[in-house]
Amino acid sequence: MRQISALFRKELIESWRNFKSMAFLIVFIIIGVLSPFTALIMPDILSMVMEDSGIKADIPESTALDSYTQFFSNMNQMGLAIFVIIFGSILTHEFSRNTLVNLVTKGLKRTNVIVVKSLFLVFLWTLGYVISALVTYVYTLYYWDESANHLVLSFAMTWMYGLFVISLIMLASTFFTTSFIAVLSSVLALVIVMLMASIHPDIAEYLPQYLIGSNIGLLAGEIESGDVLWSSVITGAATLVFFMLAILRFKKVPMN
Amino acid sequence: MNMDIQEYLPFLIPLFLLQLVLMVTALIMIIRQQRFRYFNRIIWIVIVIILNIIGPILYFVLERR
Amino acid sequence: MDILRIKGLKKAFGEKAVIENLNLEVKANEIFGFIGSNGAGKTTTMKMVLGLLAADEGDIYVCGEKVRFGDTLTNRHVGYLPDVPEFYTYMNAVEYLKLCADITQVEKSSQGERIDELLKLVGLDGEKTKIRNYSRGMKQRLGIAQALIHRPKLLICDEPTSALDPKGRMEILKILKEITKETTVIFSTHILSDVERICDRVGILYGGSIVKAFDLNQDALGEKGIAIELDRAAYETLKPLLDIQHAEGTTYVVANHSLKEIYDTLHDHEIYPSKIIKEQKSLEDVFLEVTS
Repeated sequence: MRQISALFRKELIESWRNFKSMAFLIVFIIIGVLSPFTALIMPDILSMVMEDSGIKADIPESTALDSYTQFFSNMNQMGLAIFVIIFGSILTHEFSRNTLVNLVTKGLKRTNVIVVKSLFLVFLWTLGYVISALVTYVYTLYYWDESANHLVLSFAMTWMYGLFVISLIMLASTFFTTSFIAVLSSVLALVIVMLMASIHPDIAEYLPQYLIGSNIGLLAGEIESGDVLWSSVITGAATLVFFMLAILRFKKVPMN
Repeated sequence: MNMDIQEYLPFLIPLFLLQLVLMVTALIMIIRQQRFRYFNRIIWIVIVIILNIIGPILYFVLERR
Repeated sequence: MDILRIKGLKKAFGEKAVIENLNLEVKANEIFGFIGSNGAGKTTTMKMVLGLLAADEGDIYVCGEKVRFGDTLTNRHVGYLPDVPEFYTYMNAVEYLKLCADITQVEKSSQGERIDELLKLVGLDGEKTKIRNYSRGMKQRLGIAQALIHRPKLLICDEPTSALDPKGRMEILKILKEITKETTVIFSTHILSDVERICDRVGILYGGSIVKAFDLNQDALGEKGIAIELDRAAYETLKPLLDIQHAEGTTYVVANHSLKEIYDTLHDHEIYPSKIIKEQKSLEDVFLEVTS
């Protein structure tokens, strides 16, 4: 336990002093503010564009659903990408700079390294995501005051997907110990594979990718909570398996 | 349209402030930093000022390991 | 009991065998010099002792406990100073040592005291700057401090002096000598003068195994021969009679003859040199002998 808490504190100090955690939180708050803002000004911008080109059309006022749609489209792509870019090197940078050698040769359990780094990423992801979601929620509530279906579940989908991505980062890091680029590429590769596989409608519902495709459907009432059960279970299981594999694999990684 | 700006202030003020914190922090760190792994001080300052959000993030990721 | 025992160790990287049947015992409270030329496999051996690399064959025991690759249990007895120690450069020395103390489960109550003690030992007390701004020598000294935080029974240093200037080297050697009161030290190096200065015992690594291990005192090194000061003419006279070779200046070295034989020969030819000295082999002589 002492190793875990000491190492966790070290991660906190590190990401605070190099300003990465702060930069990450700021970007996520920006996403939280920007999403309802985009939804709010969209009709105005559209009508301006149309006026300029001489088309007369009635642009409908935006709704709460538009605001959430903006949030998920920002978070599922840019948000996750920024998270991976900022924190994806959490293990590889220790390898490429040999900073773990001092600690491991003192009896730091290798398992604890993976546990702490995973916990730390989960902690940051959860913190950033919850704050960002809350910001969008509060703005949306204030400007539209409309209710939506399965609000919490819809938000939970992207959060779960984030955990899945974290487990993927950890597993890839134990294989490509010194190359952050290889870790990035493998995350990207798996996402692309899942996107291609989900063209097939029979498989699509069972893939982790389905989670971040179902946010809006859930809110709009087009998808019921039972529909995301399988992909949630599969994603959760895959996440746990990835973490386990990362721990097992890391025990057998040579350290030069 | 002018009245809209008033209406948008609850968005614009936090957006502006958050970006400012990001940019100013990056600039302070760049000015204090002695050696750079990529580019040099002037180029980083230009990148951070011109590229909103992305600029500072790039700097933190590439130079602050 | 031996602090470190290595039996039949083997390690190859791909096709290239680096360590072949290495055997070694290191006793408590000695300074053991682990010497070999660059690329002889010193670092590889140490990393296997620390469980950082997997051995292909053979067993390693630290304080009687078997070392298992990937498992860090035996490392609680060991402190390790890598050749280029890397730290979290955004911390200062106290913060870093605090982290190390927590990792090694040093009692919270005695941490502060232990850290002060170590910083004083390595001359970094009162140093407030971030490790980022440290010189090579300062990093090496902090490296010793971090390796000793948990009072290990065995300290393993990989080329601790190689990258330092003479002043930095002297400082490190002095610290290593000082800590042998409570710790066994193994240090690898290719700088033989450092070994001669502080080591009690020496092992020479060559061709993947320890070709010679011995106590570092005059008897063990053996005699090189008898040095005699002669003029040219005397040398010519003695050349057919003795195994004699020119060393430098007016000094010649006679090997493989007893002192009596030499005196008798000199007396017979009425040669009376101004100097006759028994010459000991230097570590360098021994090293070159066994590695060629």
